[in-house]
Amino acid sequence: MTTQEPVKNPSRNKPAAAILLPWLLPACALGLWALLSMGGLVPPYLLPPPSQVLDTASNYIFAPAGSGPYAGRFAGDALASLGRVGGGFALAVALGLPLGLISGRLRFMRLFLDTFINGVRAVPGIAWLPLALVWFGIGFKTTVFLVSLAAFFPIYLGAAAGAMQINPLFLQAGAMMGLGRGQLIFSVLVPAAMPHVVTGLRLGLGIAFAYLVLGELTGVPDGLGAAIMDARMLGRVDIIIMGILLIAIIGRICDLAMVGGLKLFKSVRRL
Amino acid sequence: MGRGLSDIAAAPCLKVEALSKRFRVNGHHISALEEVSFEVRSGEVLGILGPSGCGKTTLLNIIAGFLPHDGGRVMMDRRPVTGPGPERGVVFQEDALFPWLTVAENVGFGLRNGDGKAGRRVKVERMLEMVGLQGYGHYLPRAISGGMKQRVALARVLVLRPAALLMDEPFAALDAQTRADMHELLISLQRRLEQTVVFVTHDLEEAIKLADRVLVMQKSPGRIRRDFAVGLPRPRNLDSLEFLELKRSMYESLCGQEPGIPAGG
Repeated sequence: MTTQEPVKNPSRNKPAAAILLPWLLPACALGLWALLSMGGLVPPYLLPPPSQVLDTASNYIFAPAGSGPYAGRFAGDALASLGRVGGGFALAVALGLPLGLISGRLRFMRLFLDTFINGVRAVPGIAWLPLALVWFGIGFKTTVFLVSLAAFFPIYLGAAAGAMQINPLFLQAGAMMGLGRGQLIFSVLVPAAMPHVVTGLRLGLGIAFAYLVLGELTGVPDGLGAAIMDARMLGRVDIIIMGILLIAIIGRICDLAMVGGLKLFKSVRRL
Repeated sequence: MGRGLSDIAAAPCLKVEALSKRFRVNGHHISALEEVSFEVRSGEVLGILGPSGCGKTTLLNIIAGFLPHDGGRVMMDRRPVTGPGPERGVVFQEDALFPWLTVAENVGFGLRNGDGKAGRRVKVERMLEMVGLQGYGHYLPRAISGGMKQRVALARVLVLRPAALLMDEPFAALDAQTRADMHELLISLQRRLEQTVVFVTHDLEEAIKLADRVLVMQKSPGRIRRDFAVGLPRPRNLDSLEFLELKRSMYESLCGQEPGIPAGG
């Protein structure tokens, strides 16, 4: 008899279809792109072929810095961007998670917060840009502000929905077994609300990347968004497409990393 | 299992005094409980029987400390009940196990401090064995049957050694065979641990089969209509004349075909 974790890992021994299926759509998009650009249907100054974007990317990522206009800038840009996303997202989690859990459990807090939060939520992020520029200037602070503002709402709403929809018997059961208020929050409320919390965090991280680019379009010297914006003024469509692809890849990796990190919690691992 | 002098001398473990509870529905006050009084001795099994809407679940929730009451008081070991606590363990009607914890973790959940990790594990193992779930400790609740879930629900409460075990129709959702098995389990555990039990049911047979005493409740307002002592020896034969007679008089009491007799009779 053991008290080990349940030994069940459905991700082992995947059938081939499960491995190939996620890549089918990206492969189709790549094929269509190659067909349009190399078949001459779209001129290269509007849509450069995949091979050219690949060359550009390898120069951007691997070439020694300073050997060309975009050579070797990737590491610096990616770090700058990740710092902004990380800072903004962390701020959004620190505010959105507790406020969401509280408003999901306490009716008066929900009444107190909901009108304001949903009102602010209705304002598109781009409408905050001019104000953010006036308040924080160009650069780190403006981007972090926009990212955290945008990521806050899905995180808050996810936590609130999770806290609101938990089985009330769970809290009664916890209290009956002698848990105090704080223990109830961490040992019962948070794990029980976890499925919705995770959804909110993932949506929040996704939108954080969207607002990262918005914040970096305003003339900061480094970052993936800045690289894209510079490229537009220089007419380098290959750089723009490369930037879009890199943001997609980095965003996906961050999502996987966050979900993987959350699996340290039993309540996520055993969803 | 007759009740001797020593049992009568036992101190009341739970004392409910003139308890009343009102609910507001659409602006009207509805009296869910009115002047409900009774005592439960240590080691006694008390069944609360009544039609739906008679306030029996409300009564249990007040004793558990989940609901505030409007009048009277509930005393547990001479101390007034003000909220939920581990000395009053509750088994709920529906599955209320934590789905993110294994069976063993659910059973060990309330064993917070003290004992150390090894001591807690021993207690959990022993408890799982007592409810017949040895070897299932590493399963998640979603992988076990409804009957097994209620065994876990029983185990996670009994492992805390509660002064009283409160159960709200805990076997109502189970099939007949599983319910009968759970009755056997509950009776054997109750005798082994000398556990005080208060359970709510709408099932006459279940009440007579399990309880030493049955309170029959009436509705609007929720009151105790009659207090039956079940003096039948255990194990109880469901087809015996005494059982059937008791069942009939309890049924009549339940249907209100007899004048209300004050509680305690």
